[in-house]
Amino acid sequence: MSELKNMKLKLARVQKDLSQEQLAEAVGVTRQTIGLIEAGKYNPTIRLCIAICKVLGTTLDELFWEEQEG
Amino acid sequence: MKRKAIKDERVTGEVHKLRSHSFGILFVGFMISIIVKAFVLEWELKYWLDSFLIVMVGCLYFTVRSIRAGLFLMPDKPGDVKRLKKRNLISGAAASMFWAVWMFGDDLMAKEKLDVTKSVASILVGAIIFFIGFTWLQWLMIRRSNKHAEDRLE
Repeated sequence: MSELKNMKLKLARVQKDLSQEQLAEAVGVTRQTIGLIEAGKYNPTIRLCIAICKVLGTTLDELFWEEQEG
Repeated sequence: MKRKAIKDERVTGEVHKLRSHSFGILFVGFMISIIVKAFVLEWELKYWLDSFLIVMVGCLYFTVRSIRAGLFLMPDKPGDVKRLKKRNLISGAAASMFWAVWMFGDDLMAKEKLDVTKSVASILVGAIIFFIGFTWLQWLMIRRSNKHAEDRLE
């Protein structure tokens, strides 16, 4: 499993002026889960990804798509 | 106002994973306990029947639910189906042979004057019935499960 930090998610959350706790409450998970997604230590389901995107007003591509390197 | 409990997918997923690990530990523990009580200590059936039934109920639940959820699947390619059939027959034969050897060993240990011909003949018949039942049941389970999986697609 890739353990790349999801900086895009963190950035989008900060831009929306939301704390991890606020985002977690909006999508119905715990603060720790959001923290782990941002740290690249948890792979969220597509449902949770969509819920996060809706709250942050972004698309799945913008937040979760990783370009292949090399 | 009562606050709605959070159903965090990561937490529930982790809980499910740990529960299945716990089930595995319990299952192995019960199996070892039954084997020791039945074959090492040679206790009477009434002393380990409850453990045996608990294990059976657990196994039956897992198998029936797996079939209904369509988890045992048949391959799509005819060549792969043939290979699966072959594997099923081989595993059935191996299980029957194991059973036959076990029974013969049990006969040897239990009786002082063993009628080898009678014992071998009865075990052979038993092994054939075991083989047919075992392979047929396995195949039936895969087919039923596959049917359930296909039905869910419609």
